[in-house]
Amino acid sequence: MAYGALSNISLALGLEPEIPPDPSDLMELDPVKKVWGRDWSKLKEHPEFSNSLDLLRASARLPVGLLEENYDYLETAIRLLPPPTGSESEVEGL
Amino acid sequence: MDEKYFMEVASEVAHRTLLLNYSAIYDEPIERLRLKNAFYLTGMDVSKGTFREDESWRRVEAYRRSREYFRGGPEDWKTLQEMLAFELSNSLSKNFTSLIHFSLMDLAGGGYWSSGKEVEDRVAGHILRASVSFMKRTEFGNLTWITAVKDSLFYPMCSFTGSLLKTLQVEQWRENDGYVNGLKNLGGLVYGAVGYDLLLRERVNVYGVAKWQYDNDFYERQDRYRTLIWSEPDIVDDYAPYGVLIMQYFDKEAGKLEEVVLEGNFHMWRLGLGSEDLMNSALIMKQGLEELTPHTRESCKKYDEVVSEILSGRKKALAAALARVKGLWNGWAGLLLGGLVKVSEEDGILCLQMMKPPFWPCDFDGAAFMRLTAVTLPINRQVVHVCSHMGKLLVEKVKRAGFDKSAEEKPKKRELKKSLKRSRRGLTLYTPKVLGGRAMSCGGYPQGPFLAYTNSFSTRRPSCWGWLTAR
Repeated sequence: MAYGALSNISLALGLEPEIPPDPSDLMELDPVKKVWGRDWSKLKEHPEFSNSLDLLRASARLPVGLLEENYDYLETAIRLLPPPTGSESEVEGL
Repeated sequence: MDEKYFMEVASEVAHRTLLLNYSAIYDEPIERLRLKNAFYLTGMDVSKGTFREDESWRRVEAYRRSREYFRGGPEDWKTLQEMLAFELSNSLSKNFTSLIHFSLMDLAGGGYWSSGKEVEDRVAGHILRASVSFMKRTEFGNLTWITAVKDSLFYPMCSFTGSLLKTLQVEQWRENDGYVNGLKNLGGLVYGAVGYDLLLRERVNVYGVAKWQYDNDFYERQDRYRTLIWSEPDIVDDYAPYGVLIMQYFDKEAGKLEEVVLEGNFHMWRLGLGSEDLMNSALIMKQGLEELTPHTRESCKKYDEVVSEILSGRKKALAAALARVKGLWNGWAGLLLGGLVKVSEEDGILCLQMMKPPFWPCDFDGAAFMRLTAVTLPINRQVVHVCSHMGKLLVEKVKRAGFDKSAEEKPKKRELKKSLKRSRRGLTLYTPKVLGGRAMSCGGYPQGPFLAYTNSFSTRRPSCWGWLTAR
């Protein structure tokens, strides 16, 4: 998820080259490939790592901006609701 | 506004957010979302290169000044670093909270939201009302458990993002080769993350982790579950502050982490920590806590208490802090990385260790894996605690509602049975007493939200989800 956020930030700030949304593509960028290319290819040869690679890709793809927007919507809406008339500090409505 | 109407409106708001989360996670093609994501995250309209006007001043300033800095502007890096770390931590805390909320509600609701159902479901309605009832009225408006969760994640997240920005050497991104070197370091993190995830998958002691969670967290709060008392301090995990306390010593610059080759060519990495280290770290934490806004600091009370205790210098307090660190590393981390991680103790010095496993398909970088463990410990403890705590409160609240004679919206007996069955089945993974047995055969978990949840953890974060998904 942090990777996805960094990728979005690089897009927004116009950094060159942009941090690609898929971490596997990052490993294909020239400067990164020079350092990690061999190790990365070796790692991909081992099927044991496939679940971990899938998880990494999926977590990087999470829509961080939209999830944050949804959080803000929920928090603001409930916070701004007029509080119920009772005097208890905790809502007892169920 | 009466109680009943309030609950209806609040639960409807929560319902809509959950549906939005569903579409954000499952429905929309990610390519189309990318510009929107970048826009919301940074406040910058990528297509126009402008910042949006209705965005919070702090966020706009952080990213506008970052852009200027990377273009060679005269910005002061120290101030900028704090602003960036704050914004990134805030965004990630909200993201985690969104996913925790979605997952808890969906598991309790028997997969109602992840299935994308449009039809009204009375059981899901009960769950929603139970959820929004965990709320306090304050002079600034209503404080929901969701906000408390976000606040509880913020401080450990700051430690994580601080470490991330340092590792990526963001300060040097504007210099010749600075950004390229940052990308190389990011590549190293990605490479390490994949290996670390496999390490967790292979080594986790599922039953042990569940038992540790029950003995050291869940059991301690039994009275809250009996009385259904929800309070902000309970949202903060007891162990997370100790994770933050030890994190800095795993940095390369600290020079404390060393590799040892043992007899038989066994490799071990170790790090020594004593009372003095804890006091030094507590002093740094104190300074960091003092810089927080009063509201955020209020939600970090437990961190303040831990720091004060250590800085009191009392032998008993220091011994207790060392015991907690030992418990965290030997117990929690040790069970997540089954058998590879442990602590030895000599003359009041803890020696935190990690062993290389006997068979490993690629290069094993023990120092990097130890660092990844340390940097993610506070966050994964906090997330697991929140899920366990709120999951239990939620299922108890639904259960009680059915037996409360005065409840106007009392579910019918058949509905209650159905509701409880669904909630318990879904939330079993967060109520560790049963989890031990269940986790051994967790093929029955709803995969939709769970996948989203698992995905919420970059593989850089050791988490309990490895053991929950382990088969």
